[in-house]
Amino acid sequence: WARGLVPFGPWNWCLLLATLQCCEASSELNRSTDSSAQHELHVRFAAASSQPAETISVFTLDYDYVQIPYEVTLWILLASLAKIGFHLNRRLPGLMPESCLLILVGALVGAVIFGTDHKSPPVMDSSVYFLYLLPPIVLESGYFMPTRPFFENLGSVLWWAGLGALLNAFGIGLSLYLVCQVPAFGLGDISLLQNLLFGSLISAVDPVAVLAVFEEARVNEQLYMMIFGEALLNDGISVVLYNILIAFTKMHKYEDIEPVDILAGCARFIIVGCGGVFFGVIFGFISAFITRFTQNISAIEPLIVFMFSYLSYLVAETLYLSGILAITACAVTMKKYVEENVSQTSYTTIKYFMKMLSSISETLIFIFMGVSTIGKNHEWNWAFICFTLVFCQIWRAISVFALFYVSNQFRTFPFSIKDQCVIFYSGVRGAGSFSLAFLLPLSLFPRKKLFVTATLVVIYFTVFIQGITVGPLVRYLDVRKTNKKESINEELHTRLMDHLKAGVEDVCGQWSHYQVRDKFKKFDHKYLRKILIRKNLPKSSLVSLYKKLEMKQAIEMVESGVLSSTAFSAPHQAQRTQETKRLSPEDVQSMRDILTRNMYQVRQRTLSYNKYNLQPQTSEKQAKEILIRRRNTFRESMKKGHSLPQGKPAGTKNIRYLSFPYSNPLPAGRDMKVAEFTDHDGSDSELPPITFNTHSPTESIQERRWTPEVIPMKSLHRAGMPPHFGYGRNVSQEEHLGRSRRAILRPKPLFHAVDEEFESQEESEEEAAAFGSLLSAELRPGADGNLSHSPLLQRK
Amino acid sequence: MKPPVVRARPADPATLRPAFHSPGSRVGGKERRGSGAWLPAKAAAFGPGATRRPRLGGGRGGQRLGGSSAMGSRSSHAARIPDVDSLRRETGFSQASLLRLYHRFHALDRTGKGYLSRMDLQQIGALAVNPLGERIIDSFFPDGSLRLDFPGFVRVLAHFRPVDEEEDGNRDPKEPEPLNSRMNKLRFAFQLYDLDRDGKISRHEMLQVLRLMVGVQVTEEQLESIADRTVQEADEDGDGAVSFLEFAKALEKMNIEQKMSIRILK
Repeated sequence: WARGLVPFGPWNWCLLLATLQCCEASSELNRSTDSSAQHELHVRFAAASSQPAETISVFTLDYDYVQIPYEVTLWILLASLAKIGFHLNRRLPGLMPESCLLILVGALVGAVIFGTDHKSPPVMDSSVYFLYLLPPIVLESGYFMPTRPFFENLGSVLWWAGLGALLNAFGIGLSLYLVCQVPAFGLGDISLLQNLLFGSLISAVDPVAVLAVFEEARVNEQLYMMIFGEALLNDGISVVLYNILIAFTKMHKYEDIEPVDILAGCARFIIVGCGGVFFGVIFGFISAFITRFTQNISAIEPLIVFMFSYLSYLVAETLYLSGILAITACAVTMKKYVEENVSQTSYTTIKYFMKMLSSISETLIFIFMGVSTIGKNHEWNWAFICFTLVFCQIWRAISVFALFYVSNQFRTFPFSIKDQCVIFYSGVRGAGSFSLAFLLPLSLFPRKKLFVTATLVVIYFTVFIQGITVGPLVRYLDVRKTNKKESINEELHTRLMDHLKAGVEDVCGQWSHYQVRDKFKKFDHKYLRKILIRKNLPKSSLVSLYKKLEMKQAIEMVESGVLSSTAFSAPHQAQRTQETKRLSPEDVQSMRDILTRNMYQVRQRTLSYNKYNLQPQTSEKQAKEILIRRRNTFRESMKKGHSLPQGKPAGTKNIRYLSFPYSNPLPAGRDMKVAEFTDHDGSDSELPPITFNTHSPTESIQERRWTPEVIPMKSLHRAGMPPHFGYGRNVSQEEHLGRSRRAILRPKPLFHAVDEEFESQEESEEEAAAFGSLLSAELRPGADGNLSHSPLLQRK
Repeated sequence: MKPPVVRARPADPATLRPAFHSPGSRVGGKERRGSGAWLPAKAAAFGPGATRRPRLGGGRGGQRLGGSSAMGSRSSHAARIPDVDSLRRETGFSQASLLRLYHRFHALDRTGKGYLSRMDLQQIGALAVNPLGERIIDSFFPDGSLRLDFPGFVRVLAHFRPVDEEEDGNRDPKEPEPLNSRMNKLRFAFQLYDLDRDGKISRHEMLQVLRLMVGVQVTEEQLESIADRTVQEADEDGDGAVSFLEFAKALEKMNIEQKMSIRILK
């Protein structure tokens, strides 16, 4: 970190010190002016009026006027620069989570503030936190949640995130209460309620930092979703619990709590949660509906999204419901529809803006954490702090193993002990816990300082120690070969097997369907989409756009010489030179590097999520590249009039990408395909069925004009195409060849993309076609939004 | 009229609905229950009754698809799978898994012709952007056949069944090696390289695979030297090609059992 910061360090320090000097000066100034002009309302005027009234001052300094935004801006800038430094360093990001960096920056700022005796601006108070800092963070994680795996694992996620938070909160609270009863520790004045409250705030885990590790280690999707779901729901549950307990504490000050109140509290917990979700869903639908009409004023689209999410939060808070759950639900609900409605640029704006807002919020909280770490407002009690730390771990272990033991009974694919260990270990506390502790009302909690200190210790412990070691742990448990001394063979074969496995998994399909999901899908297609989604452009334009894109890319490929180097190189065997010279280890190393860096990544089903950054979409590029290369190999083999040398036309079967007829398929064919189209498998993002159709000659001729190349039948038959187009099934290969030569001359068999319209009715958007996503990446405004969420080509 | 294609609807790992699916331990009704409701897609859209979950129908033979599916000509019954018992013995799949695969098979078979063609597999979107997609499809169609029937489908997938330790210990040594043994898994990977089936990966074959798997940034010269090196590294007898034994030797340190197993294929 220090190394990363070095380029920026001196500069920052100067800036910071200058600032602080300035404000010292200005506060001096103010002190003097305050005495002279006590009745002035605004400090600004005070500063100005400190000069003799009759002359206009040439130079005045008014730091107080800008202090808060000025310092906040500096903090954020500092944090951003630190992040740049952090990522310039190659090894650091893999070593520790980014929250470590933020905390360190915060501690640095805190040290500076403490060292210069400066008083930090009151950025964080209860209303600022709950009204401005928290919503963006929650909105971001709700919006970037991978919807499909979340709902597929909904039961387990709710069970674990909901019950886990409660179990932790009460477990930690109660056990700490027992500890407090020991007179030797001097904690006798902490009541049960206060302990419970502390338990609720300390149990708000923020395991997002761990997600980055998971992604790198490619843990299974279920595990990923458990952690993500916990990160998503935990805040909401903790905050609800926190608020209820605060209310109880207030009540307790004046009167006794009766059992009825406790029951009411439980009921309230449920109502607050469900009510929040309800309002969120409502507002999500409203905003989705409104974005349907924004095509002419697309600049307003991001605004609609943000304002409605915020409105859902505010409305829920007005009614004392959980705003966090409301905004989460709102984001989840509208995401699906909004993304289809808004233009590509708006979509990008929304994504980046969301990341930006949430990272600002989080930076501020972390910096505040650092600032309050270094200062005099601490109370250290060994017993309380150590027991907090221990109980946090113990109760997390208990809740993980108990809850997963139960939920495993109901799962087809249970969580292994390893998975559970990883979940246990990922209990990293974050900004949420600190904020809640920091915002405890001092009047009700005389030992607030102790709570804050204990929270800080837990956060520091979990973020630094667990956050840094979880990566090695995951790798260790995963028994992954971290041995760098792999031979090239192993490197290559491993990747091949990964691809093979992924491919066979796709053939098997995803085996996790259930009825609720299907019902929702039907309902969605029948009603929701019709209401919420913009009427799309005629499909033929989509098709033509695809063609255009295809041509463009083909031209680009040819220009960049890729085509010639890849496609023409098939018969290289003849020129093979026997080189038996030994290669130096450096050469081998460089070869290995080339392979590691350039081999195609195995497709991931889970979307990659990074709290602090939007990943560039390599997978999308890769998919495009693979498609284009295949098509090119096919074209080459076509031109040469023979298939690939080995008699196995490896590239020839992908003709379906080649030609895209312009007109719509025959209605009859379409109906038939609706009937056929039964694979509701959400996982493997089927290509839209592009099937062969026998056409009336007129239409075919018309199509032919649009199709630059007519597909040679030979290669089709070689490729083992089923006799879809009217040939007899048992015609011998030779006959096929003969016929197909003739077939080249007549435009009969052509390819059809099934109309997207029906695609979008039949398939949920998660099953969007691979090529569709390619399209939508670039042709978003015109493209059916349906195509935009393919899990295959993660855009997030 | 087309037979409705049955959609697989196996148990969701996450639902709280009880899914008593422990592979191989139960037969018939229990497993049916565990694997959830199987509905013909079309029928589900028609009558309300069609969306009902099928009732358990009294053990092995008597199960019927629940609901008023007028078109349920291809029901989800395990007994409809031809040679279900011998397939189970051969592949080691549990009955529930076979049933799932059966439904998947028919879901892939869009036109209801009873076998799979290459086209059917090519329709799988994720496979289309798999750099090895074509090779993988090829491996489902051994010996240049054009049709893939259900037993063939299952036999290929059986290579990816996770290795069961206890089962491995109890195995009769006289029986042939199960399809999911380490050697068979390796052999499956090997035949992705070995296009001409001569039992050797030639330099050319290696180069072809590399070309498929490496992005366009790498030049052809680099690829060729990598292919040379790869063959050289594994080639022990100096014939300029990698035989299966050499291939297995090169990978002897790797956990093939884990690398080539798919969790869901129990």
